[in-house]
Amino acid sequence: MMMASLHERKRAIKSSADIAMATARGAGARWPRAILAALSSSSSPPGKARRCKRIVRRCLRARRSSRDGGGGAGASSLARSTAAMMSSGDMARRLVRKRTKVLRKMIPGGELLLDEVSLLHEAMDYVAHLHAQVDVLRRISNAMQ
Amino acid sequence: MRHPSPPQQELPTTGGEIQAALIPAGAAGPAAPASSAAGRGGGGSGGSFTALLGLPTSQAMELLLPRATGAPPPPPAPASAPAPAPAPTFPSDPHLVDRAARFSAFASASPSPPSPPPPPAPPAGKRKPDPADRASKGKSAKKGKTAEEKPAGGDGEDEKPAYVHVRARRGQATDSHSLAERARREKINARMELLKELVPGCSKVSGTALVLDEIINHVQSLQRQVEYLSMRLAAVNPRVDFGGLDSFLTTECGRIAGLNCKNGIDLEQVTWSEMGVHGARHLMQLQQQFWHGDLAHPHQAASQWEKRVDGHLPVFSSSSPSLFGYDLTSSGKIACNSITPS
Repeated sequence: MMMASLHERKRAIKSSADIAMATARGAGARWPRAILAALSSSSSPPGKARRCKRIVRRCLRARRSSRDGGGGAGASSLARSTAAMMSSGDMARRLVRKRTKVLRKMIPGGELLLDEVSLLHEAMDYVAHLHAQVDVLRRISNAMQ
Repeated sequence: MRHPSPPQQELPTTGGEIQAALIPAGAAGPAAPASSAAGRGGGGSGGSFTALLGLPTSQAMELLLPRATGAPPPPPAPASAPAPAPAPTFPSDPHLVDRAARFSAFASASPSPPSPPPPPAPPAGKRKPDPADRASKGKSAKKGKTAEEKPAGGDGEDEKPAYVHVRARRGQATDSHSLAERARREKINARMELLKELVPGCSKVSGTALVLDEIINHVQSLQRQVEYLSMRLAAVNPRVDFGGLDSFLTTECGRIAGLNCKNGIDLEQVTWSEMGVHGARHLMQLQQQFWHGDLAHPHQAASQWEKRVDGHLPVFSSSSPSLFGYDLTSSGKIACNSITPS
């Protein structure tokens, strides 16, 4: 039983959740590697990640969960026209660049990505998994009350 | 003018002749499909392209008769009349017909990374089926999606390398850089559309900057929620050991994320019904620790727990006490197949 402080416990829980999320994602994206690299060095490193990997492999064997990536190739002409209206898009471009930088910082491993396309792809992936993480944590904490 | 059913029979045979005619341009052949894919992908739907095919085919049929008699195709005139004159570019049309099926596949797939079309492609490719294109230009000109490339100063060559049409947008440059740029832009916009679906409340927002703003806010809020929830779990009971949490969370995160990506974002529909035995066991372990450590816990829930364990109930009813009564709209049904109380 742990008698550590609240913050330590919270950090342990959060890192467990992050490791779980990153391992569940697998190798299809970049952000899991960043998370595992950052976190694994500190806490009981190989044990947790390895355990998670084993579980993921078991789950995949039991149930083939294939994920479809979306593939719509539609050009959003509306977005384009709106951007064009905004002072010929200069201001828009500056804003977009600023926000891309912010997004890069928020997504683990985003700084390493060079092009915007893969950054958006990683962001999509990461957001989906964050949804799952929040949902699971909320259910657990509700169950614990 | 013949619009026959026999095109099916005749085209294959003439394809051989035409390919023979195009042998000198065979080097450009392999490059053509790649750039054509890029062009198609950049153009989005291949609908206008197939509309193009109708005319060239029939006009190609016209061409077949003189070709069958062995008459060599007359040298091309860059600005040709809309009359079905044997234009120089016709020999390549059957190639396009062959590629039409492939294009429909390309059109629906996400645009592939464009290999910059070979430099000679734009100048030579501009003299493509002019009559057909002129006709279709009237159709699609206003759509803004595809536009005829202006034949930039005819080259006056006799032979047409079989380059692919590169569809330029109206009023936009057609060199390889801007083409690649445009394809990249389209990819980015496609991803933005997907992200907009993922982030709630983003579908009305238009404009890349605003959408990015929303995404950033959403990611921040999600990360803050994770912090808050983990704080809450940490505060629940100091004596509960959450060390085994990660294995349980792995199962759940993977499952829920998989469901999310498949069905779109509808977290409320996710139920516990598919929870694996392993995950369920962990949850039960956690809760057992919790109960043993907390004397103030209502005995009602404890007895419920024992009842369930003894009975090996497959489904847990949602009318159970608050311990298992999740507040989420999805009533928590736990399928515990073989729970061994540890």
